[in-house]
Amino acid sequence: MEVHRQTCQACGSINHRNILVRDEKNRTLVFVRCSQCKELVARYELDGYYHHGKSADAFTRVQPIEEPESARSYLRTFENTKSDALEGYETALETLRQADKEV
Amino acid sequence: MRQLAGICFALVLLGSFASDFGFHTLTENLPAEHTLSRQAYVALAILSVAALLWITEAVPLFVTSLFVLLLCIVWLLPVMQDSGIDVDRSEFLQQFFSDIILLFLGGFTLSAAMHKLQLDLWLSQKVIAWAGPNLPKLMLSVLITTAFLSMWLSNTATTAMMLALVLPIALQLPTELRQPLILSVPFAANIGGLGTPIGSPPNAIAMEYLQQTGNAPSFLTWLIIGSPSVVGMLLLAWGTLLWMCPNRDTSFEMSMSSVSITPNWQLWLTIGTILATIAGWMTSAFHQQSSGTVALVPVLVFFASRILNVRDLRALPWDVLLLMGGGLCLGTAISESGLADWIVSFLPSDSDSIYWNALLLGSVACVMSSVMSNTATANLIMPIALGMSETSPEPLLVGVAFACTLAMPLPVSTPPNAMAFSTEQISVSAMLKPGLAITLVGIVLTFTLGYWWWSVVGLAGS
Repeated sequence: MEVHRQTCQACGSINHRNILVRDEKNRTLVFVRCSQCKELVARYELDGYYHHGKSADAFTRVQPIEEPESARSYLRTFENTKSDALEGYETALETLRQADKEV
Repeated sequence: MRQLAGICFALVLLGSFASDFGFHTLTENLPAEHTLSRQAYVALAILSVAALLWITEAVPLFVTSLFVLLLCIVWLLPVMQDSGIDVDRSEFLQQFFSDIILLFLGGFTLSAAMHKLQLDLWLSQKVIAWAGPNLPKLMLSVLITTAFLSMWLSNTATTAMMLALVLPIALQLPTELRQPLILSVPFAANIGGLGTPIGSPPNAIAMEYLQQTGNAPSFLTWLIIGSPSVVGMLLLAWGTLLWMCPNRDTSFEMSMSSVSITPNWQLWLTIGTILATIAGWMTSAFHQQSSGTVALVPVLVFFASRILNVRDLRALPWDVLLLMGGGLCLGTAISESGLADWIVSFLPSDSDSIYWNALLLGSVACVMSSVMSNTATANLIMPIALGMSETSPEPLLVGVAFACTLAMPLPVSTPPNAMAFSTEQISVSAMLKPGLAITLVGIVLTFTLGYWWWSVVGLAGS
């Protein structure tokens, strides 16, 4: 796994704010704004969005809605996304700690 | 681990059937009047493996559909040809892009366009705002709006949208009122699926089999068959859910952010195309074009005008279309091999038993559909229903389609149920009590009043 902390290219801050947008083309975008100098840092297009602590309906609201094959596949998709997100998060934090970077 | 076990079990089952030992063991123990031919045996093997994989969901459902196609071409087809049966691989392949698949493709495209322009959301907000902070009236508005949209659009998209509207209101209410209000969304989404051939894949599968027998109801006829069921079931759901609400006069705020739609050419073209397509479906008796052919119109209009783009095309649920195609392919295998006749030879087949056979198959379909995919259930039961009556298959097939759609007692019964359950506001028991009541009463009404109505409308054999 390759892990980076995003830094603001203008002021070097690692403190950012995420602005979530669903645009007219039905894309789910995140605009990353520096909390310090208020500059645009980056824009991501989301796939496999997971909001920790929120239920699956939040997951469905943010993703483009896909027709599930069955009720079980819908529930499984959410659980797989959740476990994947949590596992990836822990691994990313551990990787940064090992590189002596502030998390 | 469970999925790996399911795959292994399916392969073992397939291997058992593939051996001569399996064939001799089964056929030697059958009475003479129930002789099983080699090709029917192979079809039974394919049916068994497909059923196991669809029930367990060991692999994605559409993968099972493609596996069915593979087995039909490489195993069943040579056996049938060796037996002198005139059959070609195209009979299995063509099921994956039949008229009904086109119809559903058109339906998915309509749904995608409406959702992209937020027409569905705008309409829903207007109706819910009209209901105001009166719980019974609000619940009825949610039921009617969700069911109406679900008749024409994707059940999942409708449910997701309606839950997003209803949840902020529901969260203001105490639990005993919150749960019935939230449950009104998935129940209405399921019920709406009865109303049109595109409301639910089991409907379309029934239509396809009926087209093969030359007895298919038109789009308009299905609407006439289904609409009273939708109205009746919505009233039943409303009454059941209100009965769960002790203090209906609890006050709450109608907190909703309003969506505005821009009256531009895309909007008018979308509305015009939707209305023209529905009109085309309703008038097929006049212009003599099939519903699938009419369904090409919105596909062409929306993608040519770039209201929908290639990303939207890729986002269409092609796996659901493959799932339906696989079921129809399996149905061809079951009927052409003679397996349907063999299964039916164990059942009473006189004309008086059509009703009881319909009730039996409908009940089996309802139980299966309560715990597995509606479409997969229809894929397994419909070919048997078709084989039960060569002269009057309509009530059997329509009855099974209705039974599949009405099964809604559990979170795993339908995707809308799963979505409502995953809001973490509904417990299994809170869904089970009203869901089971609606399911059971729905089955009874379908095979009493519904069966009578089908005969009034002219569904032959009812």
